[in-house]
Amino acid sequence: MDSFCILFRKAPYGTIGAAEGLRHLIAAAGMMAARAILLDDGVYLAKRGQEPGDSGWVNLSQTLEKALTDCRADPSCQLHVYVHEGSLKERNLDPAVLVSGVELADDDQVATVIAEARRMLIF
Amino acid sequence: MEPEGPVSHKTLTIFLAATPYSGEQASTAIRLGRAAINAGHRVSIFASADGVYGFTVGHRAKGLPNAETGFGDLIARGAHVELCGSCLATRGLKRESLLPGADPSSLEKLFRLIRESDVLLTLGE
Repeated sequence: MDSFCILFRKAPYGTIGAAEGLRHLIAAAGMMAARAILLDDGVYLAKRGQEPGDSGWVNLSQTLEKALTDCRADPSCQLHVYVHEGSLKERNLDPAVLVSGVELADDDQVATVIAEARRMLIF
Repeated sequence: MEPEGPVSHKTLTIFLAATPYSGEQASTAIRLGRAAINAGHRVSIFASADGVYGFTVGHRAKGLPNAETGFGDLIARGAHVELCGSCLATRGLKRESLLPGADPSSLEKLFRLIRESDVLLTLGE
């Protein structure tokens, strides 16, 4: 597969979307080069300091960070997670609040990643 | 309906993550699948999350498109259907509650389907 991408557009916890996207991203990264774009409310997935407590949810930002950390330790793993700068700005989120390992991307870079993706899942 | 003229056979894979009756996604999947089969193409559907509810049996939908009937017809016409296994388990859905031909699957199989498809379409909430 040339390029596989998952687009996250929904905030975590409000719906199953972000959790499902993350589950699929981690599985994909074990099988192929995978990219993800966090766009619109999807950028909240990468916000550090989430405390789902006893809600029953796993901590999704921690899970994302661990996936990126694990991937960095595995030379065969190719996983990139891009966070759309414009969506951060619209939500008054400073990039400093994001988990480590994610990459910032402007409009043109997001467009390029989408254009390069031969297959894409949207959550 | 027979395909009109020579066609290049492609594989359309639909990733369906929406419930059958809260929106038009399931109905759209059925109509797109039907159109693709009519045009001579292969159709695969992978249902995930609440999308698996479209492939249970015993629906009594009246006055709106019946997902069980629609997906059952697609399967009878050769559509290949796989359901996210952990999504079924999460929802307590057992094999006996599923449409014949809609089989529990895995993410590994999903990505194999994606690799083999010419077009991938996401229909979610």
